[in-house]
Amino acid sequence: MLLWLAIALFTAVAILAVLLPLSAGAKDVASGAEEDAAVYRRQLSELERDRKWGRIGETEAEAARAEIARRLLAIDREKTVEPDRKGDLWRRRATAVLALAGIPVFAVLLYMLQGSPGMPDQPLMARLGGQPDTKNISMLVARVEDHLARNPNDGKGWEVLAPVYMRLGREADAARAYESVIRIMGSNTARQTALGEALVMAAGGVVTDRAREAFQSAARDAGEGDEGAPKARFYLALAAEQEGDTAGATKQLRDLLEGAPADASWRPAIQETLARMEKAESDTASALFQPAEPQLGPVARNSPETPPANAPFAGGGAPLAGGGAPFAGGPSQDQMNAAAEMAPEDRMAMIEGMVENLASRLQDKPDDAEGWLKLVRSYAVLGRKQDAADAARTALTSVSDKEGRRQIAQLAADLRLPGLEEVPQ
Amino acid sequence: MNGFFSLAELGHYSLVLALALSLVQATVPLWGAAKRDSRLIRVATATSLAGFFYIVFAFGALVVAYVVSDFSVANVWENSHSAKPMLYKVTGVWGNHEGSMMLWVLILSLFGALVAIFGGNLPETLKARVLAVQAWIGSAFLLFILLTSNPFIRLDPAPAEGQDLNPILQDIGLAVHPPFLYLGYVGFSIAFSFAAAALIEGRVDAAWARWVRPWTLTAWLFLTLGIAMGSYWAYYELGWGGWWFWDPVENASFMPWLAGTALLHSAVVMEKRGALKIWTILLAILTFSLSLLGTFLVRSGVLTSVHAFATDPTRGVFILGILVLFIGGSLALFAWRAPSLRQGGLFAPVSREGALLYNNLFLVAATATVFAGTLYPLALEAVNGEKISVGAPFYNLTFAPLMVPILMAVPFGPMLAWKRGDLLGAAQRLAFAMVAAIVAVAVTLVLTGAEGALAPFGIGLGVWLIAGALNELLDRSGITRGNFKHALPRFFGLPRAAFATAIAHAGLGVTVIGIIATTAYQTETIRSLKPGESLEAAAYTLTYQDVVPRTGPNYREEVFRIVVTRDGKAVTAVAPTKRFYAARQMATTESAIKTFWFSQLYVSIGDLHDDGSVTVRAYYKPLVTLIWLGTLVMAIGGVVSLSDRRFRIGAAKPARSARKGRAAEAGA
Repeated sequence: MLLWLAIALFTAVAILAVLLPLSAGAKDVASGAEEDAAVYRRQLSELERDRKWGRIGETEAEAARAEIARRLLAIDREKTVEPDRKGDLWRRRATAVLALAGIPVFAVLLYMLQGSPGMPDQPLMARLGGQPDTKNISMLVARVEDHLARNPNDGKGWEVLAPVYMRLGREADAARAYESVIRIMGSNTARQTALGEALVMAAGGVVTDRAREAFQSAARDAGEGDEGAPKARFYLALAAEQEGDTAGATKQLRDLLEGAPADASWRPAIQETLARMEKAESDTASALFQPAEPQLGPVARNSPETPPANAPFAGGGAPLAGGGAPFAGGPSQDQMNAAAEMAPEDRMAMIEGMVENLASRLQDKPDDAEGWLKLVRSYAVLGRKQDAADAARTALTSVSDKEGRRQIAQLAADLRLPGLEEVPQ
Repeated sequence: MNGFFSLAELGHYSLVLALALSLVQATVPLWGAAKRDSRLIRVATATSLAGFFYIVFAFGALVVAYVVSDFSVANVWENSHSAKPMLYKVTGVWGNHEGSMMLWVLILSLFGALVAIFGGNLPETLKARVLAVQAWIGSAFLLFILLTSNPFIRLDPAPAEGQDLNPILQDIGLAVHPPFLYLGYVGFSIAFSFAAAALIEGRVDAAWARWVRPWTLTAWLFLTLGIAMGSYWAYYELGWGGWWFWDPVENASFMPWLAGTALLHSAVVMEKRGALKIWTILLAILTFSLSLLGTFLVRSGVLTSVHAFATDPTRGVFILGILVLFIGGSLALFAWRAPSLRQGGLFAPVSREGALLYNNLFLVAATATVFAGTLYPLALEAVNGEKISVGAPFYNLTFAPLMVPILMAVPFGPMLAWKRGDLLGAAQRLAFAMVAAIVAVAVTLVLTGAEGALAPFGIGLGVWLIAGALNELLDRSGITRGNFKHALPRFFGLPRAAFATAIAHAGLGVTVIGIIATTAYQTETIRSLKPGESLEAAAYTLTYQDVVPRTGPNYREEVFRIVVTRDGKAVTAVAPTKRFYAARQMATTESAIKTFWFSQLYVSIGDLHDDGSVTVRAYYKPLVTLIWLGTLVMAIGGVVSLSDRRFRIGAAKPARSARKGRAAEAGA
């Protein structure tokens, strides 16, 4: 109600701003010529004053007076409109009606279009201090945040807030909260694991260095009650996989499963991941022997944890796709079908055997850009980065074709092979 | 209904009411002026003052919403954060599209109210028409705000925390740059309204020029300062050490400045001599049109840069509509009415008027150059989608050559008499300035080892402007003619307008020197440093010590501590930082600047590397501060000129004293 009262008052003042000048007595409006003459006369008297006070020299004053007089004479007296007195009353009435009806109707209508007259102000301080609104979780969070901003060493507060952040999807904030918890209340397996998890989520699923540190310290600190920190070890395995060490990752997961109690609730999850990794590995194997296609790289990394930024050869592979035929010495269709049916271990062995074949063939016949490209890529997909880098270096010195060398350098750069990150110009 | 009261809602209503009043102000006084009805004419003053009050109230309500972090107001939620320092809560009001448009109309109505209050001695019909035209502009922009950019839209339920302001804008620069720039932009609306009113009236009153010049000067003054501040802000905030990028947004403010400078000079001719009337009116229209164009370019989002926080196409189309309406309308009015205006006095080509016209032609040509460079890429992109960027090389080839002849001519202008001047005599009396300029060129050549003649020439040009300004004062006090006896009293007896001219022109010279010295002689060193390593920047050695973290109110930052030594002696320490603003997930670079006399050492931090090293960019910028100090001097000249409130009549020297070799100037 108070708001509407104020609105009424404001409107009334606005209307008065139009009505008051209308109600004052009329007076003559000077014509332009009269106004001009008045200006020049004022100038003349100003000039006279200046001359008297010695602010202006006699010669200058004389020149200025002549100039003003010239302008005074030249005043344009032709275009004068006679004042219209007859329409006086009706003009006043029309304007008054415009003010009395037009202003309020226009203003209220336009205001109602977008205004929210039913909504009070909601300054943050008042909201934080008022009765907690249990339905609005973000408000509760803000309240705790406000408390923690003033008492940043309240570890319990951070510990309460951190999981709430996680549930709200604010993982970076959750990570910061867990960091505070560890800083204030000390490190333990559960806290480090939670911190690591938050960091992984915040990074879109990538186990960053920072997250890995947290998991490692969680695994290190793991005591009796922590069952050997399975969650942290699981993430460490994921980290290994993300770095291309799929074999290491699967081994870590198998170790984890072996040590796990038979009734552990997380067993199925680990088994699932293990199965996915093994499948990815076999996909890698088949991918190795597909003609080079853009998806070649990402195939090995199609796990949901891998962000696109971590698949450097997604783009880099494309320009190399030129030749469609499988490289000489590669497996035939039969071999590939056979590979698909093999057990993972056997398949790995078969793949590595074929890669070794290729490597030794290139040692005998080194001037083969296509072959080197295949070999570098194969090593990379198998996670043997150092071998890939060595192969690329050998290739760069032994391939005679300039374009081929460029492609190899480009591939090495795309794969971020150690020491070859930059494409030499 | 309960007894609550909402300031935000009343602010919203207040804004609507301001529009209603503005519409009355846009029509009734025009009617009154046409019929010479004093009552209707008086409505203009009252509505303009009331309208100003309502806009101030609305703006105040918005500021309060920001200060108390009322996130139920969408605009506050989008651009503020409860942890933001109080200064940025307030400046954040205009650090976004809606709020900056509010500031725009606030300043527009402020200028209207000032005319209403101080326009007592204006012819009544002229005043009514000026205020009506002002109200057209105001109505258009108020309508724009209310229909497309309403800052008072509410959110229910209210979010708990705001999204914070763009970190680049969280700077003291935001507190001063936009208000000053808008005071400049919008100030030109007064000149525009006077021009439109004169065209509607069909005559240019005697009081016209006397009124237009101080308003134009005020607007020019603020625009000068606003542009300079924006330039300095970009210089220290963006971390690249550049002070002018020929960015379309910068050009958008530079074009009205160039046209406004031309207007300022032609208004002088009109005030003193009654000449160049029609040209001045056209310039007034063009200057404000360029201000509107600047508003359009920045607000419509057709440009992509940090300034383009508006990307809603309906807004762009709306502003384009306003642009077409006002520029097209006023030019049509000009085409229709200008031929019926009486021409002013005549003058010889070599005269003060001639010199000012020369100034106008070059400034307008320069404006056209910037206009082409700014709009051509946009037009090209609109036609065939090709994105090109027009930068410094284009302007160096087009704008710079236009500036040389005009800068060379500046000292001549004040030396010439009104109506008919003596070029040779002026040149002789400028001997002192010429010698000073030549000495400056020679000294620069020697100091810099004679590499390239262009930069020493530029420095000489700057000195020529400063010495020329001083030369004029000395000449007018009689010293150059050997009349030492009365020189001192004459010097102090000179009208303030003469000092104003000299100060402003000298300020221009100071800026020119700063620009040339920095552009030609700055050094840049970029190196990757590990703690303990150092690099050389000019005569200084910078040693990177370490990096320490620090927590600000709404950001965290890493402070890179660097010790500066010269000849083995520690001079100072600098601490450039990298900040991270969590709310917007944005990082900014805060450069560190140390000033040595007029020169600056500028250090900013680039990438961090895994091995603990960091890329350090160090610039040594000789005389760089002169760029901004010069604009400050120019603005001081403007203030001095404003303080000279005497009437100004530029009389030609009486024929009998014409051969005495010096112009007699009354009032000046």
